[in-house]
Amino acid sequence: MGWNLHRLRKQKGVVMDDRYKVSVLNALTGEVTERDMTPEEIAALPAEPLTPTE
Amino acid sequence: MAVKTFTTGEVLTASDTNTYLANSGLVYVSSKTWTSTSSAQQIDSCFTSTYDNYRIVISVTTGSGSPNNVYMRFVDGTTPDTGNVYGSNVTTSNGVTGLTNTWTGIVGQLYVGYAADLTGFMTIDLANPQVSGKVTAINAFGSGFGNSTQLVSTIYGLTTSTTQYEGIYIYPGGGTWAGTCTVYGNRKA
Repeated sequence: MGWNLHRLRKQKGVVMDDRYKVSVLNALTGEVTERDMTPEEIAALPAEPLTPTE
Repeated sequence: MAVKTFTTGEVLTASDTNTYLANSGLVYVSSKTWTSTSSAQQIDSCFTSTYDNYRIVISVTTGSGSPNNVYMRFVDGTTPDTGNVYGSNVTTSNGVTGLTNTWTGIVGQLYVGYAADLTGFMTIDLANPQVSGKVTAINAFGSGFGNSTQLVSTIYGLTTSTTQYEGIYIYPGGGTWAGTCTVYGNRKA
């Protein structure tokens, strides 16, 4: 999965930054971990903002 | 239903006070605070069978410039549901032109508000994320104030899936953000 993620980022021509990371809190244990977004999550990022036209 | 009804002249004991604190209408479940980042934030295991309905409060203390949308997905297991199962009916005002009404269609995320450089604030009431056989519904208010622009919205949304979700996943549409997300459960009785 890590290789696919790298390839997807490369295909999109984006800088590898923390936009593609997720900070996760487990509400039961209080543990905070970090993971990379999955390719599905990256692919599903919204492209168009929902804002009124001025 | 009241936990206890007091009578005139009765002493409010520490025990009674603690009982009330533990059984208020909104019961604290979990909270997550993050410093400036563009990362998504996720809280796992915040929805359980203890409550049917929840309130989520998101306070963005620092954003990037003009209001950026804040999106929400629900978590099934440990990763968010990225399927096209979310729909949002959004009425938005920028304080200048008339209201804008939008139905997003059934897409990959809910709209819940804004992050902006002065403030972003969202209160989101949530029905049945963990109840078997029911879709999840949300009613939300969101505001984002930047130094030069503002956006405020009322948002009514749903999932078309009856998946029993256990957590939330939120992220800004652009830029960075810092803030706190707190989850409360609505006491059933």
